[in-house]
Amino acid sequence: MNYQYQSTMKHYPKVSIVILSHNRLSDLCETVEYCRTYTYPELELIVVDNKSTDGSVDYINSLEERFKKILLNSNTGSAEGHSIGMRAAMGKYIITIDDDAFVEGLAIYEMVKLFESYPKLAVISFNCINFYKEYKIGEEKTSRKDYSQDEMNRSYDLFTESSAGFRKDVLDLVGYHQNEYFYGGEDTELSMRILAHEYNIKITPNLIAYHKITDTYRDTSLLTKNSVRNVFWMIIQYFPLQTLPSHILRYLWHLSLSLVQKRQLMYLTSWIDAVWQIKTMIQRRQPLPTPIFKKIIFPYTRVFQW
Amino acid sequence: MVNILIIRNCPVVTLSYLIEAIRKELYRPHIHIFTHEHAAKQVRKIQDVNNVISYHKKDLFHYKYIPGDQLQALKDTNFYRIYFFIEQGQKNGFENLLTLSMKIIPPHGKIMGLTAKGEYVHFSTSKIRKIFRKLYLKKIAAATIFLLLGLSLPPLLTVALLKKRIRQPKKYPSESISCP
Repeated sequence: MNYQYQSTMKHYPKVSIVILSHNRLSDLCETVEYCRTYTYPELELIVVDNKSTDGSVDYINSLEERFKKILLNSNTGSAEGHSIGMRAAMGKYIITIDDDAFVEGLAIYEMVKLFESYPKLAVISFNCINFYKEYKIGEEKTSRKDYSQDEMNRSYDLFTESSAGFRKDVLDLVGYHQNEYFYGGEDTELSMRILAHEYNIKITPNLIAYHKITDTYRDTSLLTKNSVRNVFWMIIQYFPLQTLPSHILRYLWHLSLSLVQKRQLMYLTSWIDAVWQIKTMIQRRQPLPTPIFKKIIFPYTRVFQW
Repeated sequence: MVNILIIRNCPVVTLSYLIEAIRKELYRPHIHIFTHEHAAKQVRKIQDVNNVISYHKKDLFHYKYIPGDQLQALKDTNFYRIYFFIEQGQKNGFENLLTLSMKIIPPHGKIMGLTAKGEYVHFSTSKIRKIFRKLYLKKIAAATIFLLLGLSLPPLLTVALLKKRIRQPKKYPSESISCP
């Protein structure tokens, strides 16, 4: 890849990298090692630990002064963990990565360049490639492409937080993660909030991040349980009023099918949990403008296939 | 020479192996492949494929997507056997494939499921009925649950909306933050 602008950049705005860690010591070590190779001049590295019990805390404590360490005394989930890290970040731009992921060093330059060029761009989602298998998760590996002005100004993608770049001032404006979402779909929720504020989100094939999909990958039952609940909240919070009844019915139909096919009561308990806390979500309701809502692809049925 | 139809619901690479397995059993069959248009070009490259029938739809396969004249043409072809890949289980519109097979198979024809190893599973009419019955029962059960959930939603919502907020907002565990 030819990153010409690496040498042409006149100033380097501060970039903070927030690594969220929870019980994946070996992966965290590799991520930290990779972070040490970054050449970007104005870089702040933050490690947030979500109450790990596998020795990650000792490892984080042993890291050099360059790493800002935040050790939480309870597992606050991905949502709150990321929020705490992002709030503590001093950079103009923030990159969040999980402990089993890392971004290519040169991609930081390109991310900064894109943010500097497009002021309405709030989030850049990296092209997430499986570190071990070298293929893109969910899609074919895409080749490098140039982005058109129009394409960048009309981006309504939803990002994944395992590797994404944020504009800090937009996060201060729209707010950070909602802690109730805990883990599973919290990135989609933040995407919707950013889109509701009429900022753009772009998934960029050029900016490569590596994500390790292995047996240390999180337990999918917890992910499903939280996602089923969170999807219902997202429908309540962000879907335009006229689409709400049809989407709630559609959601209930998928829920019923999953209950029958998978015979797991967690779908039902998740839904009851979602309804039980619905008051908070109604109070936070911020429907997406209909033209934007029509353009986003909500990963709705995928939740029930996990 | 006999007409056979393969409904392609497997990767194209697997398909060529399956065709080899079929050719070992049947003498010079006239092979028709039914596939989504995105794979039609690749399928045409496979040797011994006589006819490729493609359909256009992005979503999960459903026999309703096939235009009426195309469906009639399939019925008229008088297939000796219809094959499809069964490794995917009930995903990827399994029941829709069965429905299509049932619609176009002549009375003397056979519906066969194929495994990745090239083994056959014969789907007799009674077996298909059993599968359909199971699927319908599942859908009926899902519909019942759907109704129950729908009916329980208003009272649940009312209780949830009227209840006082019990959960206190969490405080950030700031005492544990050790920033240098």
